[in-house]
Amino acid sequence: MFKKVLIANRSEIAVRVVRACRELGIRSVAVYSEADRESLHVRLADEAVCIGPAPSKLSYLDMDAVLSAAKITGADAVHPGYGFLSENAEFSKACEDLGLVFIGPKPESIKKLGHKSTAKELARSAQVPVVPGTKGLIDDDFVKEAQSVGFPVMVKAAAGGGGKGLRLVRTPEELEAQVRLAQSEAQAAFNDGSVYIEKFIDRPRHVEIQIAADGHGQVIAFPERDCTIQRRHQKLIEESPSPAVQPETRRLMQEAAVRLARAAGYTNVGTVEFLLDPSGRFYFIEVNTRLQVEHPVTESVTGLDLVVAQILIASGEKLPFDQQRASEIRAHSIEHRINAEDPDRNFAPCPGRVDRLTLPGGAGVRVDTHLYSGYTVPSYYDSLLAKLIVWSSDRPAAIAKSLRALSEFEIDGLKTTIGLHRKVLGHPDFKSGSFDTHFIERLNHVQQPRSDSAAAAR
Amino acid sequence: MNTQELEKVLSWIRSTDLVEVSYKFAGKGFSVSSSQGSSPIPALPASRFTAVLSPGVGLFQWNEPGKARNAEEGASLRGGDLLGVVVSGQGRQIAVKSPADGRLARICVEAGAPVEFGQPLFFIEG
Repeated sequence: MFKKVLIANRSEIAVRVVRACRELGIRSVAVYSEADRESLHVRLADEAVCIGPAPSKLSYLDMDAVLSAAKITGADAVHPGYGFLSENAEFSKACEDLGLVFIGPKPESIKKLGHKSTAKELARSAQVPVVPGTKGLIDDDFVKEAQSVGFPVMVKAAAGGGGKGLRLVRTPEELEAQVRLAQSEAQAAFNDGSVYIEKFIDRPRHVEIQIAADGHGQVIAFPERDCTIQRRHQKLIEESPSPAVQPETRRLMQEAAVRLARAAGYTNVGTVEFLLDPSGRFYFIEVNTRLQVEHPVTESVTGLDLVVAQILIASGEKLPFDQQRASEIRAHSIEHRINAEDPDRNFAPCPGRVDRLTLPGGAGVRVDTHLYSGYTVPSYYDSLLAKLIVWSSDRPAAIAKSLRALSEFEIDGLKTTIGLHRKVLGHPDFKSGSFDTHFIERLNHVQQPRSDSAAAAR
Repeated sequence: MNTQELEKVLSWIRSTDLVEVSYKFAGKGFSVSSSQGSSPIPALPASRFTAVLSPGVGLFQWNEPGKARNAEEGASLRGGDLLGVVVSGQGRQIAVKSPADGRLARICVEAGAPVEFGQPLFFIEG
């Protein structure tokens, strides 16, 4: 087992990993930028190293600075959290080269699965259903290819994520212009302008399977997480089990995820994401080769600790649970991502000072956060403030618990999405479980003032 | 203590830059503090010292690793003089340079010492 783990991240996930380390008796090293000197992960970790100025490119994304911090503190492993360097094969390799264990998959697995189009090819070869689309990256003859897929189609960035380089095209006439736009957007965002085309699935749900694989050949799949409630392609609410997944579909998805993980020689935890159409067919979209933001949902449903599992796997131990145990659905769980954003101003980020913090509590309530009263949220990073996770015996009870917990949750001094979460949970479509990935767009559309008067004024 | 005696103490406090004085003897005493505004604390004069902060994370080495220190306290420096390097985990050497002309007033680092970003390594007087 490791003696000291460096956490190459910030915010709530760094706090989450520090806690897991402490429970395992492992010393933890926090790294921080100059803007995060007052951050909670710095206070909670056993040691802390300042690695650079505020912009993440010069601190949390600076591989050499992070690795140097690991070397000077004598850490023997690095936990990357999510985001930043977590899905960077080069970083995983650089850790290995310096004799540090990267708590995540091997660089080869990250490479195989990190690029969406190569991951899709691997999925096809492992008999995992994929969304019909162009076989690989597109160059010039894409109109014909798109027609064989059938309109409407989506144009997607190969290195993409977070909605960048993503375009919906309804007619062949728009295609060329939209492809060019997606290419330049992808080039700007990911320094990789390659895009591909796939069929547009109408009214989809976003359902994903958490996997865990050790170095002893055991690959297991957990019950699904439903991440359908999104806005601008960012997840807002995740729950497990999905109200739309039947046991037979669950089994098929789990088996598909395990086949893919085996085909990639995957170790550590990861997530296989699928689109689920209204008829119950599912299609592979991508693999996240890291811990997910929403991992606590699975932890709450199964009562297992995924960060501890990650550390055990990376240290060469066997998974502490088997497939049968991981399949047990012991509760219904919902996670709310609370962001420092103004829902009335199109979710514009609004950092600032937390004047007073009141966290919800009680049985079946967990809050993962780096906030404390008096903490100032820096403007340089992600707007995620906290994750509220609840669990209860069934879905209606979990929704009631969520509403209760949200009503207790007060973050004075900042505009947050707490109110939006209450609105979503009170909506009849959320309660009935029949919604798709456009739920928030429609919710906000209804909320917006009518534009009649504006049109008349012109 | 009567008010006349206290007035003497107060005028003495005003003659100093003290902001708070407590006195206790044989169970009796007083505590006075100057209210903000009545005796404003003068702004600190600009420091004569400039800190040279570590430009990176790693192990500090003098000019060339393994070499003895190439500057002593009291030495005069020119802006841009190389004071040492921070050797990163991947072996990159990040130069530590004197930001200005002046006298090397204090060396706060030793060869081989681990340093973090922004840590003061030297103070220069000038």
